[in-house]
Amino acid sequence: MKADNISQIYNIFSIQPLVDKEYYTKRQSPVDEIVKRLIVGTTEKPEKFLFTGHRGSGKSTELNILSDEVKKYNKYFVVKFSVSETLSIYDITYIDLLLTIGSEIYKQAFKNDIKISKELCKDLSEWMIKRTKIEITEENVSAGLEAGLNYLLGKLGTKMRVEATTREEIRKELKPRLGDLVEKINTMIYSIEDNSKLMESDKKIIVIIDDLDKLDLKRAEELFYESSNSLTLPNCSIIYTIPLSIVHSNEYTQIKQNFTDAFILPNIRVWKSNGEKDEEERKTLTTILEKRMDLKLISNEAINIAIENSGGNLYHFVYMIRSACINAIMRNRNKIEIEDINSTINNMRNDFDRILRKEHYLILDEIHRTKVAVDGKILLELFHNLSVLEYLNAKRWCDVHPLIVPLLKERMEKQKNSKDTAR
Amino acid sequence: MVLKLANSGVILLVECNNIPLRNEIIKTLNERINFKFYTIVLDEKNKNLPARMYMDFESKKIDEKTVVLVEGIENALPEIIGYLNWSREIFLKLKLRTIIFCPIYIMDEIIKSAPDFYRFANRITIKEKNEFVEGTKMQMRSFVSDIYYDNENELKDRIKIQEHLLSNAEDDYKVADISLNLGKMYLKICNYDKSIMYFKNSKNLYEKLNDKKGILMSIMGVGLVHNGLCDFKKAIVFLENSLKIAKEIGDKAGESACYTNLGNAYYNLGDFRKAIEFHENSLKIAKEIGDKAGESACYTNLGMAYCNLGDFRKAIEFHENSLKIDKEIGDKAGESKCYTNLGAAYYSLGDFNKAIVFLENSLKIFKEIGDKAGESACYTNLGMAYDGLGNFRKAIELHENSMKIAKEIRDKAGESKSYTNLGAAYHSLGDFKKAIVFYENSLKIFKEIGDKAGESKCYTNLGAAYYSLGDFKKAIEFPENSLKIFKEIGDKAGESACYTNLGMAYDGLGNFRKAIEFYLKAEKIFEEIGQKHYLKIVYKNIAVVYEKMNNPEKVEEYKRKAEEI
Repeated sequence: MKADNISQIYNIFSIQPLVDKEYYTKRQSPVDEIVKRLIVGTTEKPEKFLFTGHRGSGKSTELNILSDEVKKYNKYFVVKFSVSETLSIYDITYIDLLLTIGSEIYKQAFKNDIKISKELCKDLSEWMIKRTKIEITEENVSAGLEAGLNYLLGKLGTKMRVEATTREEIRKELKPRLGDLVEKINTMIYSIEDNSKLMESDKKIIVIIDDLDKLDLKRAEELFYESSNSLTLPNCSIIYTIPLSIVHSNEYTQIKQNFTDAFILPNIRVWKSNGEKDEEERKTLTTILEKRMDLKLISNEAINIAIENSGGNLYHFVYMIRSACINAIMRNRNKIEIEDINSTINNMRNDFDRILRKEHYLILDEIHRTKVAVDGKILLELFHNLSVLEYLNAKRWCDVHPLIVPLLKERMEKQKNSKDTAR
Repeated sequence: MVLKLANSGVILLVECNNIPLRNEIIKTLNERINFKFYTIVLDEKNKNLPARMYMDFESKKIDEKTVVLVEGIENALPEIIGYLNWSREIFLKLKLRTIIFCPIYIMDEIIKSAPDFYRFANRITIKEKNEFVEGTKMQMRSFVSDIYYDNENELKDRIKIQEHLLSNAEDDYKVADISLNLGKMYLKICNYDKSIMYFKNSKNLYEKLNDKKGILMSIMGVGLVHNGLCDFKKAIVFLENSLKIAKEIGDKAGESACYTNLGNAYYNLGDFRKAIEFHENSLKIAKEIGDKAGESACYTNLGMAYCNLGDFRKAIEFHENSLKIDKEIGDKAGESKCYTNLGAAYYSLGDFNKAIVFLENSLKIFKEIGDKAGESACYTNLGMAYDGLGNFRKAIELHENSMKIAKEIRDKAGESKSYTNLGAAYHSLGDFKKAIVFYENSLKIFKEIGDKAGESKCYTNLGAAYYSLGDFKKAIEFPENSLKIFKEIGDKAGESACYTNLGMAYDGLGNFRKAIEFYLKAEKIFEEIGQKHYLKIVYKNIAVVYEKMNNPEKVEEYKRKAEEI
């Protein structure tokens, strides 16, 4: 459904990732290549991909699209989940992640009535009960082994999410038993792939894990640097989302070694690196608007200023339109005008002003002038909070988020003046 | 014998780690030799042995007719080495008969740093008791794989599942992974034929897939199979190969695992110093990569190696480190193993009461986690400790507990060992007939399960029991059976030890000709395998027999031969 009056805009411009293609606009994205690699690829081993992009650049939407595309070819049994739904997001360890991968595979298979062998089911249940100390009630036992295990895994998920002490205990218990855990997961994968439903078309399991990029930088580094080896142990294809800042960290080359490949979802380019407008990419953003709303509800100037100030970050773009429509409604208008966008922009800019410190500005100034970002701890923070955006042509280049540019100019001006007076 | 023969001063360095064994030697000496015994115990305040002996001699506490027993040399390190080397003249001048007990590691130190003293002393190595009791088993840890299971049935079920999957698997990566799993699992249940077959299979596939880590694991597996088959030299070749790959691909955890396994192989070869070197390498990496469980395993292995060098204090320190970590990471099974090892170390130090405390802790955990085999082993160990305290009734009760569980879990080998231990306990109580019944039960099972080494040890025990009963014919018959087996399995060292024992038995029976015949057979083998120190004992024994036969010429010849070594 397309918004044809201003009050509908707010709901249609929801900042949730898209789950289907109704509002989807084709853009430059590595998804095509990933699909090709998975489908045509004559790989002998399951693939382990890393997938990354700025926060709010549309990764989740692209992963949803990817999952649909992959399903079409009937070569994969897709298990997709978001860690923010299945796990407590702030302190994920590799043990939690492996456990969740195993659980989600089983739960999805169970939902699709794909059974594993009775012996394995018994072995898994007994092992889970012993290691996690979660009890199965009589009622569940009578429902059958498979349902019992499904219940067990569900309960384990809840406990891992809400009970910090249980979480710690299970980690402590499983850490020295990583080999066992991986063996259980792989045995289950093979058993599911042996099921006639998958066997006939030689379907393999692929796990797509979203929202791992929402981890804070330190945790993410711990998880992917120290345990990347463990994360590649499950013998099915896996796509992990990672924070973009990891790509810029010193350890990235080493992390990358453990995975088959890494893909970056680029931001939509509003400008070219030489400072010219990138009309083609801007059109993508206009199309996104067009799919969701009647363009008579917004002035062309408003569109332009929204595009330029979003820096090509989809979250910022959608958020701008969404809050601008509230501004318009409050002013009793039925069309979004430039002033509506501007007041939103001011609010967003203030948010940046709050988080940026003096030492940030010095680096931002250099990036804005050179379009190149060099390594450094502060830079990672800047990537993480979206102050610096990365773009991709043939070569990657960076720029400061357009919302920050006026702040930056102001600062630099002040600094220059104070220097002048000092002189 | 040397003590009797010596007419001037003599120093015997008795290399013996085991303190209960030392006590037994002293007891035997007391019974056999009509000398006065005087014990000097060294400690931190009392390190200068030569000075102490001089003082005691001056104050007439000791004289030429006294045998001075020196204990606790390990407390007097490092100064004692210097004292010994500089003051050996005192030993000569006083014409004293001195026996110094020292663990292997101190013997090394003496050979290295007190050569003048060492040349003057006689070295005797006492390795094992003649009578064989299934000893306190220490628990070694290796990175065979991180497979944990509570009982063999659980593992067998897992094997079934894997084999079923294997029959369906088509992709190389799957077959490789499942094969590797099966290799590890069969290794755990000691089915080496199947294990090596699967490891070789996975290695071939991983080579095809160019999966270095997989190749590394497979080769390590093959090495571990050879280790299990007691072909340690071959094991080392494979393990060194896997180490090379681990270094090549920068797999730190793999490298650490290789060091551990190499350490264990050298440990099995009896090269404890080299084992320590490897375990220390492994420990360094484990600390570096924050692998707590690995770190703890390294401490355990180091503790065991130092235990074998007789440095029990250092061993205890390591086991305590391991215990601390296991508690921290909540590894119950590991914790229990640490208690067992600490118990074993204190047992070796002769502190049976402390050993019992640790072993009971271990028992408690094994019961808690439902590890039946571990529980049974604990009863055995506790039985040994009570045996050491001389509380044979309690020991018998514990060995019976152990046997009950062994029967329950159908652990034939364990059952048989319990019979041996029960036999030994009744032997100590002086009930030789009952002892013989148990030894025979044990023998029956060893024969049944085809454990040749166990069988021959049973013969030795039976021989000893009949000897105690005064049935000398049978006492000779059994070592002869034992001899037959050693020949069969090609255990040269065992064979020559049997000849020596038979020689001694015939000597005791007054059949000197036969005694010399066996001693000469022993001589041949000892010469062949180059065990000089045993050769010296044999020469001395021959000299004693010729003395009884009134053949002074020969006595001189063999005495000279013994001196020359």
